[in-house]
Amino acid sequence: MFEYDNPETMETAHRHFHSLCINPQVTFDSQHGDEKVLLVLRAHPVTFFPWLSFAAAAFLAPPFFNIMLSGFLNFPELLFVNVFFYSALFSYVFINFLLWTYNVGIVTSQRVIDIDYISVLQKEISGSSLDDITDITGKTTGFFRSLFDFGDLSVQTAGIMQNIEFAATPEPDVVVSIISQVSQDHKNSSLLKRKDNERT
Amino acid sequence: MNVLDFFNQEGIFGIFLKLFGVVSGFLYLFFSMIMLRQVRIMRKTVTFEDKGVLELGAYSQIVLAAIIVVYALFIL
Repeated sequence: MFEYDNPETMETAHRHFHSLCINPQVTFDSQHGDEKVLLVLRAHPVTFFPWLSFAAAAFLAPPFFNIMLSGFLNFPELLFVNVFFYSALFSYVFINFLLWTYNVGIVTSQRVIDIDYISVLQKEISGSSLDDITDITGKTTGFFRSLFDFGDLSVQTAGIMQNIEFAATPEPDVVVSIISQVSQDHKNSSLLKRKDNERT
Repeated sequence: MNVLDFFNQEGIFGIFLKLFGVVSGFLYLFFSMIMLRQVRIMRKTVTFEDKGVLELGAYSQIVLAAIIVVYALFIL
């Protein structure tokens, strides 16, 4: 079980094919100068299964349609069909991998940020300060999710602020524990600062 | 003689395939360029050590699209 101490002492770890990165060497465009990235979350690699199995099946398909089309097309035409098919398949795999790579949840020493790419051209970023976090819930339902230990994480924020959701996060119990502890530490330090300011 | 045999004899399949190849090849090339631009934007949004693999993937798409266009124009 991972034990969170403080951001400075946490060891860098990349688990589940970089879907759970603890204290990674990652930066993002709206990062503040004194802000440290503590966690980077992606969907569990098991979520690759639908598109990867489709791609694997499609990869094996050309010999069959080559036989079917050989009566109508000559060799250069058949070769073209195959090149086009494999190029499209490569793009399909590449786009899916790209979307997985950049659909990230980031927990920093100050904020929780969710970057969602619905498609390659459609981006949605939501974020919340650690002070505004009221509750964190990890939900693991179903056979595969229990087997591979991943689930959905919901970070609830105070008032009318938008809740943040991380889908198919690996080891949700570890992530919940880290976020709640980081949030608590941040709230405590904010409270201390406020008290110091009041005294002076 | 059925319809498929007629098209085959007249070489209509070949003409159709060349037209399809040129149009889809150019569309694929356009798409690949957008993808390359998008990958660069994504890399700015979140920066991590990927050793340029994702950008290489985007460039590979452009190369594949160029091969398709050239093949459709000059070999088909």
